[in-house]
Amino acid sequence: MSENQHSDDEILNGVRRRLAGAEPLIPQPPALGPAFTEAAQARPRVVVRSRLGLGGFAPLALIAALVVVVVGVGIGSQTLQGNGTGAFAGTPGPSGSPASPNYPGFGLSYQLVHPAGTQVTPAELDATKAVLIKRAESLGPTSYSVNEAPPDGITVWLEGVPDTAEVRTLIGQTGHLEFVPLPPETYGTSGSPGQKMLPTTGETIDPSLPAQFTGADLDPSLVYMREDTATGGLALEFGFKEPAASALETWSTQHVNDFFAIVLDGKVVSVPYIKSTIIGGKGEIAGDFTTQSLAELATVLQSGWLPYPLLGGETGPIGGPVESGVPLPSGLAIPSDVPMHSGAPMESGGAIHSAAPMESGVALPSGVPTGTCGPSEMCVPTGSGGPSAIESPPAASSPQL
Amino acid sequence: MMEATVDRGIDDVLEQVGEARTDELDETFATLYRERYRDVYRYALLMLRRVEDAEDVSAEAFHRAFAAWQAGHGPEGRALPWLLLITRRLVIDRTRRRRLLSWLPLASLSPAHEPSREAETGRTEFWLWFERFARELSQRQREVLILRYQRDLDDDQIGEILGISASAVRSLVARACAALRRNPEIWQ
Repeated sequence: MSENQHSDDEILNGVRRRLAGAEPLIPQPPALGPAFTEAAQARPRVVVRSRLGLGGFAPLALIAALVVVVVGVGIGSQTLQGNGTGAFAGTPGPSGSPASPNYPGFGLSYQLVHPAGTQVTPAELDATKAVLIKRAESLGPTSYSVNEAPPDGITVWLEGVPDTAEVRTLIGQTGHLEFVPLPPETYGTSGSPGQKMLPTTGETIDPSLPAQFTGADLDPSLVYMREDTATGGLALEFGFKEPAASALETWSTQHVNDFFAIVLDGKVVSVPYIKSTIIGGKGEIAGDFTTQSLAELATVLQSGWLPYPLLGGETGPIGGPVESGVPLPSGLAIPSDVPMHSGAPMESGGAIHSAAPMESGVALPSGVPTGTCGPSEMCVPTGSGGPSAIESPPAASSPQL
Repeated sequence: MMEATVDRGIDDVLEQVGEARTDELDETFATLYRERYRDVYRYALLMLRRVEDAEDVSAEAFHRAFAAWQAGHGPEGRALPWLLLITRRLVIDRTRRRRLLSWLPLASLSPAHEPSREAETGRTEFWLWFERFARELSQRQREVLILRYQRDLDDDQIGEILGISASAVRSLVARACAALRRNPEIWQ
């Protein structure tokens, strides 16, 4: 029988048979505990939430409340730092609350600034627009628009998300990621301290240090958050595309034990060191991130980086997404013939990544048990106990994230 | 009441909801929970592909369902489509939150939850297959087939959950079959 002769029933039965493979993954319902009964008898509207079956849902509700408080405190502190990595306070998108029609629309205007002072080209403006569209989508607005205002302006309209500093930061962040080697003669190696202290998180990187790799070498499809099984936290996994992946392998072979800095928009994110050759061009940024700040970093890296920094980000007038000639704070206007982009939900991006072990891996600072990936480190999943590739610096020489 | 519930199935008993006493309603809901938890969890897991999300969404779905139940807004017909409709809204909400993020459902358990090697292999094989399956179909087509896996849901009920007509459901199934027909290794 040829392929085209298979009936729909045959195909559906085949799919059903394959879907049955999920059955071992489906647990039995957790037992309803006394809290359920009490809640039912008291007839309140709020009941029992438990996926553990430990005395009903009430304990989890308490834990959830605590988590909300803790995250809220984290959000507050991150926001105060104002370093562009803060979490969104109630912001929808990859890490925040969902879009709400209760948030009125607002506009942001930006100006693309060429570092050499020359004219911004239409292609550069288009590239910037494409990146901003991805970032706007990631916030999950009820509607949005991103419009060019030639020669160097660009406007963003968002509705259904709160107008916060964090949203403006995410939209306008350059997203320029760099991997900057720290010369061993100055900064030392993992085994011997150097003349200078290693840079710390949030510190501005010495501009005289050249970058070995940049965000342009990243493959956005290989950037994703994952659970760090060693620490229980989250980590950001990334991968280089060719030829950078091969170059990273060669370079890491020649710089075993040397430190390097992962730098985002000029600020240090992490300072790991190479323990062994990094095979496959894949690594992981782990550290003291909140879920939201890591999600924000992931969004920036996935959406790509802007060709040049953006100036502006002021909030525009509220009242409608596209109004011909509506002046925005910087004097930009949205052209009337620019189409709106729908803010319709995207399909799930939940791609499944193979957990294939890598040959290179992570080592830890002295004092940290082998097999874990401590804070402030870049690490690569190990294969079957294979040698580690990148190790975070000793605590004494490099403050933790 | 409890025995009757188990014997006749939850959906039959629901027809008597209007006449039942309060404690009977609670007991009936507990039965509904026991009988339908895995259906809700399965749908959430296949749509979200992450155990933690599936657990949270399932718990939340029953939480909301019970609140509606107590307020007298239980299912008008069969309970499963009603539950899956609640679940679907939560799944969409969860998907929108993580939109651009992709997660790793494999090998992400802590050592305390580490399954046996055999179970791990089976789990990995399933998710690798599911990734291939999902790649060939649109989200809607995939969702229809996942709901069709619940043998006791007909096209009308699937349409009710998805907010589309029964003919639209059949159309999605046909298109999904056409796509899968070109890739027999996925279903054979």
